[in-house]
Amino acid sequence: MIQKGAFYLTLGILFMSCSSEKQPLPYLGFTEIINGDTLHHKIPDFSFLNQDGQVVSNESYKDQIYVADFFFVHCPSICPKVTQQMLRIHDRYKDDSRIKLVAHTLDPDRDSIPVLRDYAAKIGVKSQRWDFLIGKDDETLEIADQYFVPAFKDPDAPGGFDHSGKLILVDRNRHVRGFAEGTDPESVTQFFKTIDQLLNEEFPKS
Amino acid sequence: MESGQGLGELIPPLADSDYYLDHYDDLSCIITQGLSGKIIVNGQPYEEEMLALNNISLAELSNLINYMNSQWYPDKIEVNLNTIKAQLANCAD
Repeated sequence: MIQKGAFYLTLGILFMSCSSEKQPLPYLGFTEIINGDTLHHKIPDFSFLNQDGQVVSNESYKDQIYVADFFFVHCPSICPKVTQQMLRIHDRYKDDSRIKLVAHTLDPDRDSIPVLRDYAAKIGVKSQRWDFLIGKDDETLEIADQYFVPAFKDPDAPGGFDHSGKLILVDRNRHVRGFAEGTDPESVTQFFKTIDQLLNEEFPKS
Repeated sequence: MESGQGLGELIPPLADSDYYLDHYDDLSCIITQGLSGKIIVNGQPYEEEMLALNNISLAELSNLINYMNSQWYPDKIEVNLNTIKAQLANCAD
């Protein structure tokens, strides 16, 4: 009897793990319920300049999902590896207008519009699918916090900033729906599935 | 990057690199002093600054060169501390 019970338990777990693939992606961060409304953590309004000198705000992405990361051009440590993984995502979705890539520079003093435009060109990004965003003063450090990415100035760190190489997946309502480790190609391969799932959730076939 | 292919026109490749082979005896100097200005690797110009690794030990330096050789230039014989010291004694600056 115990064996039989264990069998059904195993079957149940298997069934649950199979069906969980159909579960929607989680909403990450703190969720509040106010007056019966469920309020998920949301990236606050923002306004930055991109590598073409255009203003990019939260309104710019209202019809798209996006993958964000934090970097700077003179970063000698993890950034080249993370950028290479962002390039994999760029190449995979470059013909898909439902998704954008967003790289926030942590170093607005050195990463001017021409520096970022040159960087984009040198890694082979010609499409409008990838924005490199410049914030004023500490705006970028502040918004990093909203993406749950630790980023801060540190004179002892290589290049002057400490930050993580996380890639953050954000839906059309600016809710954070997934992460990948941008220094780990395997994690990014898994991330493709998360991105595909969010695309299916956000743009259901009618 | 894991396979030494570099990153676009930003970071030159380490694998199949004419620059690596042409500057093979200067590797210790390049790693410890960095590079700035334009270099040509396999016909492609690169001009991002390469930062100096000036606090690396001689043992780490030889490990690094032997690692690159084992990955991309398996015909190169292993470098030892004497090779490294001789290279560093002859750096351009």
